[in-house]
Amino acid sequence: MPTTRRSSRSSTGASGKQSTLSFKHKVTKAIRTGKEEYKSPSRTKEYIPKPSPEPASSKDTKQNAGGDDDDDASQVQTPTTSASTDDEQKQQQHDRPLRQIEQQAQPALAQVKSEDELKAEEITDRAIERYWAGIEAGRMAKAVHKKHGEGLSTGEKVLRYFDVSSQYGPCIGIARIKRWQRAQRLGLNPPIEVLAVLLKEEARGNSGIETAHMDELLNSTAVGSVGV
Amino acid sequence: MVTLDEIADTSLLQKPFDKTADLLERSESNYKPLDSFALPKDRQYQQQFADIYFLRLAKIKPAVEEVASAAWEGTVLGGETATKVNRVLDVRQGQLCWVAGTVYMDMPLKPSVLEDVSKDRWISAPVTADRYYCENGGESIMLEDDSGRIRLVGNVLRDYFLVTGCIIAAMGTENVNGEFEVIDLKFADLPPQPERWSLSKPFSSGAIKKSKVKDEDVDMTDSQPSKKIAIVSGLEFSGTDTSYAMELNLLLEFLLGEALDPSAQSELSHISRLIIAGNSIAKPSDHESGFTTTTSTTADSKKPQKKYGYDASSYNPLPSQLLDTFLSTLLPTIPITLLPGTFDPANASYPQQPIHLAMFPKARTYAPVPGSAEPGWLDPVTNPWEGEVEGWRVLGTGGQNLDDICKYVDSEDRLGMMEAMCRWRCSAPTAPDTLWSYPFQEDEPFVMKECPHLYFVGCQPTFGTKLIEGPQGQTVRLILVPSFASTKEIVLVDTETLDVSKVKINA
Repeated sequence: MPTTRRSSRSSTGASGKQSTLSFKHKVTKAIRTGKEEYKSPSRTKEYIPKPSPEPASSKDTKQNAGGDDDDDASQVQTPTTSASTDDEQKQQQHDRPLRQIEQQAQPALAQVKSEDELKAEEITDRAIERYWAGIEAGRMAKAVHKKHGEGLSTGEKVLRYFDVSSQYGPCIGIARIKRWQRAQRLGLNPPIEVLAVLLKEEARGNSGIETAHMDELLNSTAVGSVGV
Repeated sequence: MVTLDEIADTSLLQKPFDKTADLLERSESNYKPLDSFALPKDRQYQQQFADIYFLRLAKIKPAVEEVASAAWEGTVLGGETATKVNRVLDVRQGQLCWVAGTVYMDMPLKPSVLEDVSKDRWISAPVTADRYYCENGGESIMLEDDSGRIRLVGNVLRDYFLVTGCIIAAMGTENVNGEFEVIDLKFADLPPQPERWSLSKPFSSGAIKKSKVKDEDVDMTDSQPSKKIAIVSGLEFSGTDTSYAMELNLLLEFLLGEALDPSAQSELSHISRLIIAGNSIAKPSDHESGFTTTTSTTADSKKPQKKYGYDASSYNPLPSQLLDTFLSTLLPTIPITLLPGTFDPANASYPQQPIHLAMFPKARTYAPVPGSAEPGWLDPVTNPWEGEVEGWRVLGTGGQNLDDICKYVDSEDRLGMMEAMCRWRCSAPTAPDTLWSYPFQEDEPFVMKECPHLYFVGCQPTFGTKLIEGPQGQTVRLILVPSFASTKEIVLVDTETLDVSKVKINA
């Protein structure tokens, strides 16, 4: 965006009778103060300023929030349609496929508890830890990138390992629980501990657990990226 | 005044016969359609196509590995025993092994979106080449699974039909170039075949006695009169092309039993069902569609007004009206199963959903009430379609799958390709690579779980039929149904012996 010209002349030009628009008080680009700590791109909240009360400023709100060129419509929509929760603000138009995945998971979870689910509910946290320790012990190479896994719970690690196990199919575009059930239906014997973790997280109300982490990375757009 | 009685016995006039002609009754059709290919109305399209390949491999791989291990277990070649490897990338140089995976054919003439983007050409509609196979090679056959891909080489590959999407097991070794030299190939072969009458019950002579049929255990085929199923495709009702309109009319009379003499008509009364296998409406000719060419005269240069993106004045309702009239004339006497084809008003991608009943205002009265479980006399079905007719499991398609496979191979042996499809256990292996398809995620219906007794493909250039056999005694009757508009032929299948005959209508 070209920098706004600060003119010392009055807003009505010497020759014209029309008053020009004054951009002195309008915020037209995202402001990052640098005080925010570094967050990974997929988790960054978008800066969405409140729409100005004046009608002339409706154009301004569309130019906000950096390089998301495909989100113009959503910017105008967001103040009116979004719920006030934090999560809803994070999920915008480019997150719609992820929301669809979570919605996909709902009927799968709402069904009558199958035999597998009953078995999975009996699995304790300790059993999950033991399972994970078994997987890590089976690896021959040293764990070099341990620091990336530091913030993750064992449950999350178990789920990510399940995501990259390609014998159960691709993890993109499908809810984790549906992928588990599909693998079970095809007779591939997916580990029951994964189902246990998923059910526990659902019981805790964490619906974001259904999307594979890789899916979130592939679907998100980084702030400041140039639109295609 | 002379009365008729007086001159009755003279040579000039004759009284009409007193005995009335026997009213022929058509045999009843024993019919149960399956909705294996029906898609939910609220289907999502956000998923990726990789799930289709994963589902296909997961379902067919156990069968292929079973066949392969039975054939190759313990074979010793050049002092080495063949071992099974789990993943395609696990093959080692110099080691004789076998592996199962999906075939991928990389052909230069195949439409590739990556090529289009890299050459900076934006083509509005996909360019369809007639054949992807080209004489001077340049194609490569690869074996793929979730771990990776490996190129296949070897002379033995030329003996088999291979297209993208079929699941094979290949035995061989890796050579110095990193390619897998194939010594032998195996397919999953025909799936288990259900018995006749597995889903429906035959009509016993007389009233339908459900409880007694099982106890009697009489050879059911004896009590069944020999019925016929008529299969036709490519009726191609058109508003502009009338070269075969006479034959269409004759076909109508033939099926109604109005043509020919009583002895032939009593034969025809055994036709219990008509299956229309696609392309009932002709391809719109160029001047019918809304695209005006640049060479049009000045009188036409005033562009037709386009509303909602298409030109409404160029729409010709005549083809669907003609089809509707045809169906509504036939329906009072014979039940019809209607499969959509490439040119029909159904969705463009495979599997095509049934043609909506709104297209048939007259024939609609014979369709079932929405929500009822029984199929009506007019049964619009999906393409491909699976069902049980007279106890035999029937699988039929409108021709897109076979036509697409023909583009991959340098052969006109369409019956051979149909046989190959059965042995691959996949009715549309090239979906989604070159055949547009719905991105299935939960279950892929193109994999044949059970072997059909009768497999027909419509809209083919010529008629053909073959009987193939499987390792467990399965038999499949393959039928290529010719397009009526070009060949004027229809196919009759005998329901007891599954023999096929064709009827040609000459105007």
